[in-house]
Amino acid sequence: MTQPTFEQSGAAAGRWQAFFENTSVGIVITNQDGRFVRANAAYQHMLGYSERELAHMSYIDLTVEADRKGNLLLADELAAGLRQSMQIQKRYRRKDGQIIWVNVSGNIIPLGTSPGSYYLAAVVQDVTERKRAEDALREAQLELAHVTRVTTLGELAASIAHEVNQPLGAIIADASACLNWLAAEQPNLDQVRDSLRAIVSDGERAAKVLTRIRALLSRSRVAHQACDVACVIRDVLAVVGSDLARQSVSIHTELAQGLPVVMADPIQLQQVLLNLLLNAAEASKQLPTDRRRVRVAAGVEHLVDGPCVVVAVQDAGVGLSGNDSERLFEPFYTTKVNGLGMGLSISRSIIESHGGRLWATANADHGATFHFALPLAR
Amino acid sequence: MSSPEPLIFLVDDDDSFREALRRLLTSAGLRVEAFTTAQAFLDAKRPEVPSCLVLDVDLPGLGGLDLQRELRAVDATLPIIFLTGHGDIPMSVRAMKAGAVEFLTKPVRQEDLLGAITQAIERDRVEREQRAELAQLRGRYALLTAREREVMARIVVGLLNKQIAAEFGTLESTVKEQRARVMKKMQADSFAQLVRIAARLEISRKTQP
Repeated sequence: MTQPTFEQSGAAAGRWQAFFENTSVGIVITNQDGRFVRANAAYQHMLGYSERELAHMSYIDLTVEADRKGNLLLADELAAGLRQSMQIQKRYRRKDGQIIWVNVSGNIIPLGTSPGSYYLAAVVQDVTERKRAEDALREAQLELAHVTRVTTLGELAASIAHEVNQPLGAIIADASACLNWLAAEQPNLDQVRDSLRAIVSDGERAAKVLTRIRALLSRSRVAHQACDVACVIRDVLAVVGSDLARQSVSIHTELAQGLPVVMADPIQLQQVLLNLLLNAAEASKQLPTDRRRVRVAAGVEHLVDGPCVVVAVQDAGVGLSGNDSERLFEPFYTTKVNGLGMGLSISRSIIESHGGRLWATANADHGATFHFALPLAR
Repeated sequence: MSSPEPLIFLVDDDDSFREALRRLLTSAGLRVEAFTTAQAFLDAKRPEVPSCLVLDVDLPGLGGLDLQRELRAVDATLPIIFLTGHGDIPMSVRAMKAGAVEFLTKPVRQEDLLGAITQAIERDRVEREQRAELAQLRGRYALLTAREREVMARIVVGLLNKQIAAEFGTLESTVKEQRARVMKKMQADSFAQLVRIAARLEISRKTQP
């Protein structure tokens, strides 16, 4: 292995050498082709290769195939002088075949004598454990969101049963009507046809209810997709509408025409809306019937973070008492007798994972309004 | 008197369920008038024919039980068959105590519904006949003179002509004539029948001294 020419002689070089060999982060120097010139002990330990073995390899050989392209792109930009340094999170394959996650930050070290020739120096940190913990946290959050979603649906079971029972009742009535018509000496086929058509559409209606519920019950993570917020609102109202009607809560929607799409997981957005609507209904419980009104509005607003789709759920209920409008979002904070206090906390983490914000304001007269803003899809 | 064709009123806010039920009842040869809200039903004119009401409990706004109460205030007798999406026992007890004919859970079987409707229509027919008969008796009673009413009140509790004559200070023969006029005007063939008529009209010495 050639000695790096930039090394100074004397005591300073000794200190540098000691630091290089004993630090816990990996430090490597490669030539223009990515071949290792030097690799410290920490790096050798991280990859399971000795410095001798590494001398015949490039860092690209160690990088897992899927991450190579992005890495080379950055290295090219570095070489072309388009950037001073590079940071990348990528995966290495160790000598024993195990995959590890690393953070790499690299720099160009020009070789003064010949222009255009340089070394690459990089500091490499093993972040596999941190990454694993982050993944576990994200999984736990998804699981928690799923559990609360299922719990919420459990509370809505009676009203969901009602939503399926109505079309079933209609189907049975129409089928009986068909049998009656067909039993006549001169069957009235027009009437039979009317009933059969109604049976088909009621069957479809029941199936749609079940599809919506199944989606909310699913555990699978849905990739963020272009989402029409108005559609999300309508889907949630279809699930929760009859429950609110039973509590004599009337819903008024004001959805701006042609809302732009946002990038989101529609099921998670439904969960947030479901939660806000049930809270609004809960807050309206003690009110006289004419004040049990919930307004759902959606429109585009230009906020500090840029143009957003903003959804507001407004009730005329008990409102926010004093300064607990932020405490509301803390886990396990609840004002309900049977509440778990997770709804708003989870809703906020969902909205924030979409790059948006969720907040509450007190209305001028009665009740509170919950708003969430989602940045427009680019 | 030819018996007029009965009419079934139907109140349910769910369009597809209401129309399906209308088709079912029509296919069973019944005449149906359907409404979306309790208020619309209350506002509608109801013809004087044997009828009953098939009523959804879970109506938004004025609910099924509210309608039952309102109805009792204006028309005490229209029989009600309740339909509910969820068999809530306390609610059904309240409805039945307030005079509902049946409390059926959706989805409802044709036989159960038609059975309840037949029973309700029969109940309303009897009720209407009795009301008509009472109106007729009241009409006849209105033709009696004040003295004839006093005599009738005394006859039906078993007083003899002699006793009545003594009480009024008249001749027994006069009372006998008055008694004959009462029997004729009230179209009573026998003493026993007159007693029954008096009972229907709730006539006693107290109401008619």
